[in-house]
Amino acid sequence: MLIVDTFSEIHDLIKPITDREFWDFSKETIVPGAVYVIGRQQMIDNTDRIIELVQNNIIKVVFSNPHEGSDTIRSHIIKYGIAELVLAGKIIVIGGGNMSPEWPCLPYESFLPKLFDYTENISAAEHAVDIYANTDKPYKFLFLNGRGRKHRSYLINRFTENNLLEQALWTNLDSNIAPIHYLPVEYEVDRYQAQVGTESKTHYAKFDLFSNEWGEIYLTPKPYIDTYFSLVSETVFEYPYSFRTEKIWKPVVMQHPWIAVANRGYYRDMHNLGFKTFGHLIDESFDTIDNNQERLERIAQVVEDLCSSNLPAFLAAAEDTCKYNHQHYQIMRHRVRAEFPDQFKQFTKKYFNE
Amino acid sequence: MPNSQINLNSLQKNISMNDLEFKQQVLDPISDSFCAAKWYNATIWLGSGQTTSCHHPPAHAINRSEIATNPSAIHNTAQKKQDRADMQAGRRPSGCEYCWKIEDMGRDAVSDRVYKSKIYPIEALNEAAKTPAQNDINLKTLEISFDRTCNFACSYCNPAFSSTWANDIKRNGPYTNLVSDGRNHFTHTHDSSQLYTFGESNPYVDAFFQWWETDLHKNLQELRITGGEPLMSGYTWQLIDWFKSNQGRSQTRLAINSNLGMPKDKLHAFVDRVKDIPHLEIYTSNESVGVQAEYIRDGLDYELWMNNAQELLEHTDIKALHFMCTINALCLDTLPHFLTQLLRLKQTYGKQRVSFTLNILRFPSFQSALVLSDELRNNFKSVLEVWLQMFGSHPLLQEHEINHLKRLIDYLDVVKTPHSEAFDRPKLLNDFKQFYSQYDRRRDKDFCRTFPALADWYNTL
Repeated sequence: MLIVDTFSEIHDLIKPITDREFWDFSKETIVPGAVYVIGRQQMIDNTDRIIELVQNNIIKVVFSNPHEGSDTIRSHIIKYGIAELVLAGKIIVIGGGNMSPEWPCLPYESFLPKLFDYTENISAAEHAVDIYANTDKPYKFLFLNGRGRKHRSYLINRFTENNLLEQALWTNLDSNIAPIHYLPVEYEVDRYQAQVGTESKTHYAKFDLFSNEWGEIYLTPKPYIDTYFSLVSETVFEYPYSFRTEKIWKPVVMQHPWIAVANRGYYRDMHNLGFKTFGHLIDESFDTIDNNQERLERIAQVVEDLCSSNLPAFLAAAEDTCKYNHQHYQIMRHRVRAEFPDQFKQFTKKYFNE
Repeated sequence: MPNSQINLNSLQKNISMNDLEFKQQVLDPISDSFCAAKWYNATIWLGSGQTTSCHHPPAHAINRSEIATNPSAIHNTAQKKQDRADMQAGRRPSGCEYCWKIEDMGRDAVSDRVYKSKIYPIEALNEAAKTPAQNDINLKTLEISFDRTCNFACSYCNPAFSSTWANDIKRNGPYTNLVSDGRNHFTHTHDSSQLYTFGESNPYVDAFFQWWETDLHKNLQELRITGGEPLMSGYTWQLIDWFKSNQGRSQTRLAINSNLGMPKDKLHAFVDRVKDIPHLEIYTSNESVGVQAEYIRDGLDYELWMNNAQELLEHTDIKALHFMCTINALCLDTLPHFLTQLLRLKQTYGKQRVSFTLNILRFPSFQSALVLSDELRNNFKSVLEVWLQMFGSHPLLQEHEINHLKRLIDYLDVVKTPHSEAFDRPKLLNDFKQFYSQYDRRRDKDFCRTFPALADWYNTL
């Protein structure tokens, strides 16, 4: 029997195979032997009860949190005190990214289809043609940074020192790593333009800029049209398992060339998903470098080298790859959701024999 | 002409002309086949007693009895004197086919004989043109190899130039089932390449040091030591020590070809000992990056090699570091990335201190870029064209570097045969597969994993 938390992100996806739903686990009449899919908030609110039920083999639990991936979800599991049960395969995990093999985790690529759930983004993506129509661009690359992370801090400092940021459209929304830097107003998503430049109440300007919404999910075409490539500073850099967020799918749907600052193997995993990258134009061998600092330095060098080149020529040569990726994205956004129920069934069967 | 009397104005004139202008205005009036390298440049393998005028013509034997009385006969052989006569008369020596092939691609094609002549003053070229072909000529630039001792065994090298290669054949036997022109490179240990061991009396080495002591150290503009790996030869250190003991006696520019695969302590010892050499330049080889480079140049640790290159460039006693790229079938996938890395070195150390040449591999023919399928060749050619578009106007690139790249692009596009006399595609494809499958087994390598872009094609062979 499958019983699903209506607030879990996969609720809609597995509805056809769901037997029953709940919205408050504390009021749930437990069905012994059932598999419960529990989202993040219910897990936080009911941790002790869930642990007790699992330890006594009364229920089986799927912890669903595909908005977090790899490193973050691992730290959440540890924080909630369920790591032992997860490692024992008694609680299994739906995450947003890959995890090391000892963690029983089914990755669900939640950010991939999500981007096109917003009609604004579908409209923005129609302007991709303008990226290639205009090859005389005011900025070299687009470099968006929200929360302060070490790899972002390194790149901001390095590119400040060698004056590369002067030639970039970039943001830093966390004063813990560097002064806050917004996009010029005309490059911000319309709905947030009024907040650009306002003084933030905390070190984290994102909440004020985006009015406590998930503002990063929105696309506006102008930053892509006016730059030659995106430097995507992904959420995860040091943990060697991929977690693809909206950050990478934005340039993909905009048909904008990109360089990803991410974990070792990120490019490999993109290839495994069927996407192409730009290895014929730039040296992407940094993807195989284990040492995080060395990988980061190599990526920085690649960006610097690229910026010293004839970028219109690079853009023209990258166009076919970008077009291909956009088409592949359209296939993948349907496939990711369509294939999930079967993957889920196989996953629970593997661990729970259900 | 003693090197102290080099006509700088004349050289300046050469530099002010572009390569094509130099060919049309200086070389062509002398003769359609003139190349100053035949007079003023030599490569001499002292371990085997052979010489040639540059890397392209096949080597030929030095007359051992002649050098007993005339040490300059290690350069002025009967073969070269015949070739000089041919060039003076506008005939094409057959051994120089590499250049003729390039020039036959079009009237404006610039071959290596232009680059190899342009480095000499026009007066020297005119003097060569009118000097009787039978006369002995003093070298201006010389490349010597003392012996074949080398810690690398690169795929396109062979036992004649590498003791590690010779050991491979000794240990594992000959490469089998090779049928094309390159087969003999890999079937025996080439012991004739190393007739003498270090310390044993070698008449060719003796002749070199004799000529060096009497004339060469005064006249020679550039002496380049190759190998094997020269820094593993005692004679190289003997020559380095000569400069230390004879400070001020020679202004010869010394150049050393090194694979830069030495550990750090050896590198530091080298840097310390060459401080007294008035002008030292290093040449090193590579043409791809990372694991692909390590596959092609067996023995290479790419990271160590790049670190050593950077460390040498930190020492301003070393005037320049030149990167020689041997363009073969395997390097094209990452050659653009390699060139980008060289541009990065140029940004750090300067346009003149870092340079590169793209030398198209001819032998063994089955390793030529031209054995690849048309689709692969077109892909690699397109990517190189994009690289040229992206970086071709970069201020740190030198004219010859851009020309070499253009030449390579043309070569991938136009020239359909690896070598006019040896072309037999089925044989070359057979040898490609035979060679690399045996190379994989002997060297514990994996072609398909290392070259994924070539794997599908390779598996069809």
